[in-house]
Amino acid sequence: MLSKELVAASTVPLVLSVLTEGEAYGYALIQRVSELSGGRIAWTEGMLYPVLHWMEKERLIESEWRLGETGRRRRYYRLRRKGRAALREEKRQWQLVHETLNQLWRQPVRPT
Amino acid sequence: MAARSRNTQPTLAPTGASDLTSVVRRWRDGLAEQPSLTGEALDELETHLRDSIDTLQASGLSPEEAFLVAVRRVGAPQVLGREFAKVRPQTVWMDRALWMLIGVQLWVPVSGVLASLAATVVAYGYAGRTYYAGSEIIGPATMFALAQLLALALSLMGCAWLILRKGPRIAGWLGPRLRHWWTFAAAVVVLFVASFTAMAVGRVVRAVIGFPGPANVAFGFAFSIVQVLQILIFVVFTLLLIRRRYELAEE
Repeated sequence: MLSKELVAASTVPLVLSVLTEGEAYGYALIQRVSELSGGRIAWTEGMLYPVLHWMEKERLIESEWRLGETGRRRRYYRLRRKGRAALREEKRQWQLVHETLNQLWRQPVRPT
Repeated sequence: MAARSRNTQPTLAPTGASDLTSVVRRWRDGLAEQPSLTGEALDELETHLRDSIDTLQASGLSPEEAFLVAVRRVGAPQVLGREFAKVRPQTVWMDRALWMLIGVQLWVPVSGVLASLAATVVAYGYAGRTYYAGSEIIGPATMFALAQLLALALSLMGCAWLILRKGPRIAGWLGPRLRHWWTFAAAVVVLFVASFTAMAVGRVVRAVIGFPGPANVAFGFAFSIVQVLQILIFVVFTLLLIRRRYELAEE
């Protein structure tokens, strides 16, 4: 399980990354993240929507109400140009943290 | 009243799948009590809940179990309300301004009607008697002042009842209907006529019956006292609300 802080920090990059695979509605987004993380990244599901709405307000994504395959009306989200740029920046930052930690963790453990 | 309005967790009837629709509707009504959760967000959350229930049922849960798990996963209304409020803070403030205006709207007709009633009763009761400036006037003037204060209390209570019990439903019903310019215009006319009639009735009654000279002075005096008290009560009420709001933010 992720800490509260990491969940908050990783929601936007996760959403942006899932949307590079194509448009999706909220429930599908959550299922995709759950599937990829083996169920270990679990959000309070309703909290995703304020984040999505904020991202739409910031023009990172856009949305459209449409009838889904089961005949249920759903709001589909997809990436905008600004969202792709934001994702590139997120990637750069997360990889920087990842590489730095990895280098530190590869060093032999010194006796304390 | 407070206990009921705070209990937004829906309870299940024991009969099963056929009740799922009504249980979901109650869950949605509970969510709608959060001022930041508007129509589209509610639609989106409801669709999410239904998708989640379907998936859970497909994996072998009963409708009741699926509902409870899905609700828990979506999250508590207060928490969601707070997060949605961060995205569009103006909806929360507009909601508050709306309730203030509704309070004023209620206040005008209610106090108008009660003032008219009080004036009528008092005027008929004292008609034909000889008035002296002095103790004879104090009775009717006091009655008049009390009636006005009663009206204030009633309109405040009416407002609280509306907010706590009926608010989301009325807003949900009225909101979509006010989108056309002609329904909006009709609502303006209805509200205006209601407020104006209530006020005018009181004036007409007093003009037709007429008060003897000294009584008029006394009523004028009583009216001034009532107005001062009104201002005081509104100030106290406003400050109490602000303090309560602050306490809620601290929790």
